[in-house]
Amino acid sequence: MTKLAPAGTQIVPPADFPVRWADSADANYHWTRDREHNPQPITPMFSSFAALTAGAGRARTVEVYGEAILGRRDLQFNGYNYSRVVPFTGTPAEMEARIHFNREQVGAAAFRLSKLWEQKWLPELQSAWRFWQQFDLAGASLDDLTAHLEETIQRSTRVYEIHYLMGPPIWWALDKFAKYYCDLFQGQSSLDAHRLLQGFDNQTLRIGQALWRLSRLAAQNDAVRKAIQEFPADEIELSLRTTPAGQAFLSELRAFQQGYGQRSDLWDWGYPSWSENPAPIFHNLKQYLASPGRDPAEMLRGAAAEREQAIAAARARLAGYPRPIVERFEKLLAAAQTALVLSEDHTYWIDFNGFGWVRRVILECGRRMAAAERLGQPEDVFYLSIGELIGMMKGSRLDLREKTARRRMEILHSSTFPAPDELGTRPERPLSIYSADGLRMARYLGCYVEEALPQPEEAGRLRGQPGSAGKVRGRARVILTLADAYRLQPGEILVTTTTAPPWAPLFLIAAGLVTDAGGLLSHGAVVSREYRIPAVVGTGSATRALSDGQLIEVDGDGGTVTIL
Amino acid sequence: MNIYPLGTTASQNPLRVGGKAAHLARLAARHPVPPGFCIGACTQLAQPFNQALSQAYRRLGQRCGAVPLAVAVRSSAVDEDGLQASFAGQHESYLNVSGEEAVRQAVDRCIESAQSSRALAYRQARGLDEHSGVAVLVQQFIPADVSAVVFSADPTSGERGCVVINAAWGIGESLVGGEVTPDLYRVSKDDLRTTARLIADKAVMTVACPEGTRQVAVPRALRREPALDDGQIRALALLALRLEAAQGWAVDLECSFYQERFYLLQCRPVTRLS
Repeated sequence: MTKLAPAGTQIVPPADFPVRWADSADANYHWTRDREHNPQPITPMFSSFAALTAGAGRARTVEVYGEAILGRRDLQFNGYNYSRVVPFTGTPAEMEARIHFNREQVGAAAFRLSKLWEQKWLPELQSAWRFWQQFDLAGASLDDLTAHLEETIQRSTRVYEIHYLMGPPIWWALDKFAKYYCDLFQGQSSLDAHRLLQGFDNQTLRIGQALWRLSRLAAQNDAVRKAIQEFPADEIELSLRTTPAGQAFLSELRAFQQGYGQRSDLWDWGYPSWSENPAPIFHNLKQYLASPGRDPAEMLRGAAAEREQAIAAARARLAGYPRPIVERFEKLLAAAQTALVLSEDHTYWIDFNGFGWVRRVILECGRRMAAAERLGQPEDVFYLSIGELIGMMKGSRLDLREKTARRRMEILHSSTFPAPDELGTRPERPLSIYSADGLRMARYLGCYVEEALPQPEEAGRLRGQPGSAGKVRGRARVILTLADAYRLQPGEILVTTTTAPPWAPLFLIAAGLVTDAGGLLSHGAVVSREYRIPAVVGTGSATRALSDGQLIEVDGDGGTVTIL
Repeated sequence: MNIYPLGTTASQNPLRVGGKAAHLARLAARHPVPPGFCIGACTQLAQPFNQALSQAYRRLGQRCGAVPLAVAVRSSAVDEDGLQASFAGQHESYLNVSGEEAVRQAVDRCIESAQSSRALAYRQARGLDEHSGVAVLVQQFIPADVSAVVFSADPTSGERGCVVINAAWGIGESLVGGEVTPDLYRVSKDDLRTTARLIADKAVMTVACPEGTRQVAVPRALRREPALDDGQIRALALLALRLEAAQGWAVDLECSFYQERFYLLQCRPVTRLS
C-alpha cells in the first residue's frame, strides 16, 4: 500500500539549486529554511552535533510542558539546512487536554523563571563550563581526549535540555505580557509593551560595553589608535606587538577574548571564533574609533529611564483597576522582564560562549587528526560529521581528507548563491500551533503558519514586522557576514539576513536595522530597542531588494521600509 | 441641620433621607456598609448648608483615613425602594468624587436631577407623588475589585429555594447597567452548596479614573476567570439568607469586594416576585 501524499503545491527549486531526495516520500512534506539562525550554509559538524544533542535534549522537555511541536527533522541540500516540524495531533479532546496542560505547566514555570535560573539552571551551566575549562586539552592523551569528547556530547545534551526548558516559559511570559498590555491599553502596540522591559543589563549588552571600553583605551594612546586605524584587521595584532603600549593593549584584548571570545559570528560554531580570529573585534574597534559618539552604558541608562517612565505611566492608569487585574499585570511584568534578560543571557551561556567550549574540544580533535595526517588541516574537522569524528578518534582507518576538502569547497561555493526558502510540497492549509514557544519555533523555521501570510507587495516599499520604534532615513548598507561589517559607516542603515548577539556592537554605529528574518523577539529587535534605533525585521527579502547606498526610510512602528 | 451621618436614628427615617438611605442606615449597624451621611429631603442649597456639607465631608474623610476622600454621591427619593417599585438607575449618581467643591457640585446635580424629565415621567407613570423630595446620600467610594448582585430568590423564575449571584470585575456600574455578561452562581439555601457556576466571558468592567469612572475592556487572560472564589460565594449566600430573614422579604443586594474586604452597598426587595 502506498501512503497517501499530503495535498499541496509542489515547489520547483531553481535550476542552480539541485535537489535529490534520499527518501522520495520526503518530497511530500514542506521543508523550510531557518533564515534567522542559519542564513548561511551549515557545517556538517554543527548540524550533526546539534541533531544528536539538541534533538535529544529537546525531546526530554516536550512532555514536561506538553509542547505543540514534538520534534523536527532536518535535511541538508547544497550545504543549506532545511527543516520540517512534527506537531502534536490528536482528537479534539486530546488537543484540549494537552493545551490546558501546556498552559498550566509553562505558566507556572514562567512565574518562577528567576528562581529556576538562579538556583537550578545557571549553577548547572556554570558546572558544565567548569568541566570544559578545567580539562587540559593540549596535554590530554588521545584516549582521554576521546573520552572527553564523548562526555562533551553528554554534557551538551543536558545543556540543550536546559535551553529547551528555558524557551517555553521565556516566550510565554513575553507573549502573555505583550497581549495583556495591549488588551489593557487599547491602541498601544507590542512595541509599547516592550518599552516596559527594556534597559536591563544583559550579557549581550555587557559584551558591547566591554568592546566599547577597549576602544576608549585604544583612543588614549596614539600608537595603539594608529595601529588599529591604519592597518588591515589581520595585521593589527603584529603591529601592536612592536610597542610597549601596544603590548599592554594586547593583554587587555586577551582578557576580553577570555571573557567573551568563544563565539562565532552566527549560531554555527563550525566557523572560527573571535578568539581564533579577532578580525571582528578589530573591525568594531576601527568603527568605534571613527565614531565614538555613543557610550553604551549611557544608552542603557537612557533606555532604563524610558522604561521606568513607561511603567509609572501604566501604574498610574491602573490605579483604579480591580486588584486581580493589577496583580496579574505586575506578575506578568516581572516575569517578562526576567524573560527578556534571560532570552539574551541564555545565548551567552548556551548558544554562543557555552558551545564555544565544544568548538575548542572538536578543534583539538582536529589538530590531533591533522598531526596524524588523517585530515588536511585542523579546521577540516568541522566538515566531518560527529559520527565520523568519533569513528576516526577510535581508530577507523577511513581516509576522509579528500571528502572534507570537497565538503569545505562545496559549502564555500554554496554560500555564494542564494538558496530557496522552501522545498518539497507546500501544504494547502497552514499549521496550527497552540504554544508560544512552538509558534516562535515554527516562525523562525519559516513554516507555513496561520499568521505568517505574505503581505501584499508594493513597489518601492518592503513590509516586515515592527522591531524597534522610530523613523529614520539613511543609506542602506547590505552586510551578509560580520567579516564584511567594516563597510558599515556611522549613520547608515544596517541591512542583513539576521543578527545574532555577536552583531550587537554594530548597533552602536548603525542608524537603523532592517533584516530578512526574525520577529519582535529576535535578538536584532531586542538589541535595537536597547540602543533605541528604529528596526524593521522579517521583511523576507531586504538583502535582495535593497542595495548599498540606496536612500531608505525605516519606519520601526509601522514595520515598513520605503525606498526614497 | 439636615445632614445625618449613616447610623444615627434620624438617618433611618425614610421620610427624611429617602428609602434607599434609610435602609442602608439601618443595615450599617450590623453590616459593612461604607460610611457616609445623608442630606435631608428638604434641604435648601444655601451658604450655611454648604459649610455644613464641607464639614461633614471632612469628618467623613478623617473617619476613613483619607483626605480628600473619594466618595459616591447618589440621590435617594423618599418613596424609592418601596416594595412596589425599584428606582434603580432612575436618578443620577456620581462616583469617585474628591474634594469639597466637586462634592458640593455633585450634590447640587443630584437634587436637580430629581426634577429631570426622565425621573418625573417614571414617577408619574407609577402614580407616585411627583413632588416627593429627593435626599442625597454621600458615602465613601469603594473602587471595587469585584462587584456582585445577590438575590435571595430567583428573580426570573420566582423560585425561593436558592440564592442567585451575578458577579463581574470592577465597580458595579457595568454589572448593574447590563453592559457586561456576568458570572452566574446559584447556591442552594438548604446546604449552601453551589449548584451552578456559569463563568461568562466578561468583556468589560468599570474602573476608577481621575475623571470618576469609566468602562474599559477586560484583558483576555482574565475574561473567563471566575470573579468569585468559593469563600466569597458562600459569604454572599449567607448574607442574603440573613438579610431575607431580618427583612421579611426576598432581598436584592449590591455588594463589592475591595482589598479582601467586603462591602454591602444596597439592599432592596426583589421586585416583580410572585
